[in-house]
Amino acid sequence: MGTDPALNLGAWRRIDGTEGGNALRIPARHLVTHGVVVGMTGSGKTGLLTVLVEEALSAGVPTLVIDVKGDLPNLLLSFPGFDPADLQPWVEAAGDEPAGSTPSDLAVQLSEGRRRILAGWSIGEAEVARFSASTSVRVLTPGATAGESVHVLSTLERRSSRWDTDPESARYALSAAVSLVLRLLGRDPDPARSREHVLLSVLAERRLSQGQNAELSVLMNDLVEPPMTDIGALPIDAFLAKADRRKLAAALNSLLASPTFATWRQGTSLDVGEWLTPKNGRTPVVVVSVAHLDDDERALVLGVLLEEVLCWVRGQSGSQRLKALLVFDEVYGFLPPHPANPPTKRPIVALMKQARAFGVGVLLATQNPMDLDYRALSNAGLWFLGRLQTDADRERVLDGLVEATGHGAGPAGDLNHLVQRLAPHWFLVRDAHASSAPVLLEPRQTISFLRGPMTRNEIRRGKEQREKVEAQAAKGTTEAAPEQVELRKGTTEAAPEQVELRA
Amino acid sequence: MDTTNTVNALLANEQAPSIDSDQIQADLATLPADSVMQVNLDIEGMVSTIAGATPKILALLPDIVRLPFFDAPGLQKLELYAFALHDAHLRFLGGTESPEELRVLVESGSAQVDNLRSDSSALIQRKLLGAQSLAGLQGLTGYKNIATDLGLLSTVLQANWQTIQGKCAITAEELVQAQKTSRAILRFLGLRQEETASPAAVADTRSRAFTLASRCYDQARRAVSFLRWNQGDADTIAPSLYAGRRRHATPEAVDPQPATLPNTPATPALPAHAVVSSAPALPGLTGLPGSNPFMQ
Repeated sequence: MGTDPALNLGAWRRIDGTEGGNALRIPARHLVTHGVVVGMTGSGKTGLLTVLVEEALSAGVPTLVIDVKGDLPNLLLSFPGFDPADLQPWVEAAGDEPAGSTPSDLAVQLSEGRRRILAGWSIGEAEVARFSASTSVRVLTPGATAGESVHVLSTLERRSSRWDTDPESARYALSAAVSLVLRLLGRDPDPARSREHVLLSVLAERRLSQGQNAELSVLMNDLVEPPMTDIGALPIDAFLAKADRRKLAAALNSLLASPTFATWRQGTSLDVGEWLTPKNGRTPVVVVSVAHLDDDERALVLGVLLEEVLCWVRGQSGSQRLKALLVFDEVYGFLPPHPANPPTKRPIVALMKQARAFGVGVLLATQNPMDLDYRALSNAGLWFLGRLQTDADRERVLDGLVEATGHGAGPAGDLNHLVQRLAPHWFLVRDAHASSAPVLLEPRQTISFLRGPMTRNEIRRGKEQREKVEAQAAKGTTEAAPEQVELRKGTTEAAPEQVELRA
Repeated sequence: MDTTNTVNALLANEQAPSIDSDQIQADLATLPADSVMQVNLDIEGMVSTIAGATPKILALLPDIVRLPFFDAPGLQKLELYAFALHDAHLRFLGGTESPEELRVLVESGSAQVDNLRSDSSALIQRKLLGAQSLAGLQGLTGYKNIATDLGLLSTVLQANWQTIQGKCAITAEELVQAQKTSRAILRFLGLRQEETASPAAVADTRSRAFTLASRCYDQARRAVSFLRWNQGDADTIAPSLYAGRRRHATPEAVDPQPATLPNTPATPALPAHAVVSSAPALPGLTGLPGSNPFMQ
């Protein structure tokens, strides 16, 4: 792997549609200043995001993916070759097959089709095998056991050393976890309004800053018999009456006793550093899927997660190299304009401002460009615009593009017209690091099989299949860890149609 | 059809600018969920812009109704949509009103209940008021109980005013004040309950109202832009709601290296009919390189 790996995203054209080439290469470090993918439903955002993730992994960049719709667990479906048996569990009849076609027949056809299409992008069986062997895929499902469970309250219940080194960020993470607890109790989770939030946070922080854990069972006792007399300037009974504290403690007890709640408190800790550490020579991609949660739960769980990511980022050493990538698919509702302020907004805004210095890129995707806080995107250097249908969407996103990239990419009316006419699976690409004009990108075919949104059962099935693939690969390569993969090695040297967007 | 009559018909029904009006509710309900836009403008500014532009837009209505494929009747609702949006916005903000106002009202209400109750007890003692008439009093616990008691006391005392007038310290103004306070507390409680119960619903209504107003104004701008193309004053008549939001950034001082993208035109040309490459496509396979970048 070179010191400055590039992401080979697909074919490109000039923006007037004239001939370009078959390999648009963007240096991975350009993503350090973050990226935005915008396009209406069916514009090919998920495919492009998957390609970006696959290319980042191929460049040895650990990636954390937040999945709201259920599409990106498809990364589990990257197999070591084109064996139809791998695809057979995922084949669905489209309805236009010859009568009598069996799933096995369909899998053979599908596999052969994928082989031919990937060959069209210079990706053969060897590249597919190398990709599969060099990556590890985990799908985490907070509050469910379909993928790996996550102890979402580990920030609260398991003390982190951050309380000694960075108490401010630890406090934010604690606040997010307390909000989640209160939401699960059906109470007001707003840190600014809820007295219960303030009291629980004070009680938990007291224990955590003293080097103890703050398990919910311990906090229940603290609520009934507070270890302090005052909260702020008020006696604790005036702040929250004893009867109300007892009710809160009883509600916490019911929560602890609930079998459903147990899934929120089991599994891997919220340890982003551990998640993104390569193991056995494999570059990790961790997909946190929240598609199964309701809107409020998603916002709170992702608030907790993103606060953890922010804490982890701040603990990294400075770098200009892309060391890790955070991908958030369908950020709609999680980074809204003022005055909306869901728990995800603060950490995303902070990441967009601060993660660059630590070599962590953030890639946001949405089909609803009206719903983004464009001030937060003012640092985004890489923009991928797919087809947008409404005037308002195009106007808004082009405004954002101009603000973010520092100078216009051409007459706004021209770009507006262009974005309106883009075909599905084509994107206008503007790279602020490159002085060249924007180009059109047709993302390459994904190595992962894009099955569409996966249900919890399908995630479970995909996870088991992937674990088998990784276990078999580990058996065969115990003596020699796989090298980092560079896709299409044979074609990276002097192909005249390749272009690399460099500053 | 006589244009003047058409215009008069279009302008015949003046609507109340409330989000609750049947017409607005019907239009809100027809918006598909996936078409609802997110509020990304200052609502007061937006409403003000639309309200200012509406008379100038409606002055063009005789010409607008002649435009083919244009929803001229819909345009008549422009101001209505704008004020309905304002109404929805106020309700959205209403949920965040300071509870301090409610506390002040409840404190005042409690004192009034104390006074009226005390005087009523004396009136009952003197058989000037039936004891059963105040049996429904709830007591001074809970905001709703205070409001209910205040309303009950003022209603009962007002109903017996001819009997008790001049025989107690209660004044007619006090009873009016009590009735108002009761209603005000209930209103605040209702607002708070609405906000607590369904903040998403209030926000959704606002987003839908925003979508209606935005779309209608967009349509109006399209029409004005077409009609006033030669005069070039479309933006004066119907200014963009996003005007002035674009920041003109300074160009990069130094471009460290020339781009390696060869011969890319500095100023992009409009994609007329795209020149499509002749990459061989396999029949029946989608996903191969070489597709047309533009819709036909």
